[in-house]
Amino acid sequence: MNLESFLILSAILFCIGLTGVLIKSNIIAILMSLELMLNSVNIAAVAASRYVTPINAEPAFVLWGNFFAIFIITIAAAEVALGLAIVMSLYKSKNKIFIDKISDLKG
Amino acid sequence: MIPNIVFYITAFITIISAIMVITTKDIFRAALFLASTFMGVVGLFILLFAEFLAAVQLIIYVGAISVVILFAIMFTKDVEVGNPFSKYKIVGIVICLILLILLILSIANYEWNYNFEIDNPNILIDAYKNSIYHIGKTLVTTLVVPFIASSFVLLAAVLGAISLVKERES
Repeated sequence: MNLESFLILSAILFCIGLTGVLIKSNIIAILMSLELMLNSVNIAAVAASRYVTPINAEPAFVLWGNFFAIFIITIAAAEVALGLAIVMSLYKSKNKIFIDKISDLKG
Repeated sequence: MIPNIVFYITAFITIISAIMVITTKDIFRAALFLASTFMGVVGLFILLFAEFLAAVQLIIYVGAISVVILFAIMFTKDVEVGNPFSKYKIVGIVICLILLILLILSIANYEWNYNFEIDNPNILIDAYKNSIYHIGKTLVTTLVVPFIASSFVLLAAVLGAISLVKERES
């Protein structure tokens, strides 16, 4: 258990999430894969601030990765609320949630 | 020794659940595996001495976001049609494998400066023993502007969600 193992775990999670965003066709599945990617970024930030810290730093700077993760969690909550609201209104007006079938902007 | 075993078990559960999220046919079960992935991330945060962040992750992700996603899945009626792949399946998997190999090579070949070689470890001990005190104090002093800005972001998200799902009078 060292910094490399946490960063490699975070890279694997990020690539799984990116695969999900690229290959899924359900909008809710794409939102779920986005949540995976945000979680992997949180793990990387917290692990980096746990193991690598500037010499003679203040205690608040030792915990700097935690602040990154807190603000990322805030933005993720706002993002999932807005994304699911868009999915619901799309489903109510067009009755479809697969991105292969949503092509209204194509002209 | 024991933290190593706990780390490997937690990492295994997290990665297997994350793979199941994007391979399961049933999207309802995919959302349940997503909650399991979030629980694995809670365990990783505890292993990294970030207790406050573990509690926040448990409350917001496992408690709120998973339930909201489950509600959205149940409101859209194509549950049994599920979770099909789009037509870019091969290209997406190849791109992500190349990116993963590049990331692992660059992580493994970099020389990291670990902080337990510094002279005075008292700062680290103080920071991790009183982490909630330091987090609360810094959020209202140094980081007060992004703190208030994130509250406005949440307010805008709530108002936008309400106005998006509102019934239109015609």
